[in-house]
Amino acid sequence: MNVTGGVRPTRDSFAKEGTMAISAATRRSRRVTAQGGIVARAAFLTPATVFYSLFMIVPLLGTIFLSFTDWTGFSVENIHFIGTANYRALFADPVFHQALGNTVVFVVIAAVFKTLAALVMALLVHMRLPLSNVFRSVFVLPSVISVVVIGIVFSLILSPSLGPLNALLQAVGLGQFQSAWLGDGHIALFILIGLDVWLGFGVYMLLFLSRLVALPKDLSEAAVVDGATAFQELRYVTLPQLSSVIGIVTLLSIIDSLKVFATVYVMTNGGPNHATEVLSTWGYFQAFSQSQVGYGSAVLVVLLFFTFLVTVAWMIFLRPRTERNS
Amino acid sequence: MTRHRNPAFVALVYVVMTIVALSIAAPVIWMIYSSFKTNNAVLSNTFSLPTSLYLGNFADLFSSGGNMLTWLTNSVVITVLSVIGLVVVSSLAAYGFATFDFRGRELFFLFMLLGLMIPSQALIIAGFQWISILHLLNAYSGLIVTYLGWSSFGILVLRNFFQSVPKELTEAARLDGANHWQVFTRIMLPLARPSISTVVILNFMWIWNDFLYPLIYTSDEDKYTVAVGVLQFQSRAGVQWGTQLAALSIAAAVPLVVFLVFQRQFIRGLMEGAIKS
Repeated sequence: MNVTGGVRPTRDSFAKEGTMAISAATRRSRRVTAQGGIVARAAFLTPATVFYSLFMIVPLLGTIFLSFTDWTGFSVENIHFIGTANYRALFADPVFHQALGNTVVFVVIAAVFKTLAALVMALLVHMRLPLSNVFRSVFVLPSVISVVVIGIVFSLILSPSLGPLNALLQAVGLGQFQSAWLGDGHIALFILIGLDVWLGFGVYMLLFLSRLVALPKDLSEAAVVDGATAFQELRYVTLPQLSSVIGIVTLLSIIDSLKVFATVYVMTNGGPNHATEVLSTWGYFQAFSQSQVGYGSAVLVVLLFFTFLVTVAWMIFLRPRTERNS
Repeated sequence: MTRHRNPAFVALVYVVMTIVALSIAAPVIWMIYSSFKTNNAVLSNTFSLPTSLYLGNFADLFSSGGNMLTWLTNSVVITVLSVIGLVVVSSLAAYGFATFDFRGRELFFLFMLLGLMIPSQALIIAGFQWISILHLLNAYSGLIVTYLGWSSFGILVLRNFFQSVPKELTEAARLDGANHWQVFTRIMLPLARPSISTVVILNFMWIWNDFLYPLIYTSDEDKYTVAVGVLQFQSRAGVQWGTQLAALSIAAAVPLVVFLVFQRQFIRGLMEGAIKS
């Protein structure tokens, strides 16, 4: 038995020891390292900042600006500032409300199940049974293959008349479960959510695994010695130690679900009849297909605002609690 | 763990993992072997394995009727150049954030991380106008400079790594008279290889698979990337499932191969690089 008696040395433990033993010379050299002329700092930080500001921040500000106009997207001379008219129109737009509702449903269900699935599969893979590596790679596979590809393949599989799924159900005698699948307004959204969870859990599973393999073993070993069952160990030792990662994964999966676009666009494009419309697809549709650039931008700004809200809420409520336990 | 495992429980674990793995692998496998069947065969005998390897679908994609080769070339050029550019700007900025102390540094860093929250659809409208003004539409450069703006992830991962390098190393070098560029290229970068691999692989996947920017920023079909071409193909191909699935298989094959080759790096890198401070 190899009891290391402690955690691997980390940057934090270096810092704790270092602070106490720090000498004047070391402090001087630290200052030397941290100093850099303006030229040096500029050289390192400028390239990324320039591209980021030009091609991410500028379009972002552009979108926000456009949401206050009535532009159709054609000639630049026709941009008229119309104040908050677009936003007021949002309140009266039934499709916007549907898209908003769908987005909320999507986010809540997808984030919860993605986090759960990632956690469960991480715990299973962490058992290090034979072939776990193969399983782990397969679970990550959807994140590697593009959403477009998977979306189209599934559209084909779920095709009501030609697709293999209905054919398969028929062949094994479960014909009564055949359905229009993505053509059925009642279940289409949930099919998309299911696919999003299926596609997305792999990366989060890896996040959990990374923390699981780094956990100090002494606590679990003490639990075993004390006679705890596997479930007790899970509940009282492992899960509390994972709480900070659970918090991070929750935030990331919420943000990812808010951003969902490709899956919906490729598979149903918001249909049938807006049953699967989400904020990002509705904004995109308005801006590009309906030439309502101003209105579409307003929809997207609402989406951005929600993302911002969620992040701030997380930082205020969840982060302090999760960091206390990490 | 030194605990004896209940064999029934182990069996259950395997069952669960197998079901999940199969549900993931089956559609992919179906896609691949269906590309070797004729369109009719795919529709009529959907599940049967191909009796002979029909290469007609692939021929159609690459011959005069299809643009797959052009699309592949476009994707390769754009993705490779963008990834190289991203590694350069991200590592430079990460070193800057990790090494220099200045007022407002953390705020500036958070500003650079905003990109993680922004969906690309929110930028596409204004972005299109902007790239149009710069006369970079319908060209490699328009897409590449756009992707270079998505450095938030790389900066986050690499700064995290650079901060974990013991300061004694860099201080010793600096005291010996090395300037920052030398510290960066001779010490930091070589050490950062795993994290850089993560950034390379993930950005490669994202950019290769991205369809929104190439869709909006290009108008000529021969400027499409693979992701866009495959999407456009879908609306046109109708019941030609064999050809469609062949196109999809090619689109999936490249990241798949990259993944299989760099698998260990990929998974290790994702696990190491993803622990955020």
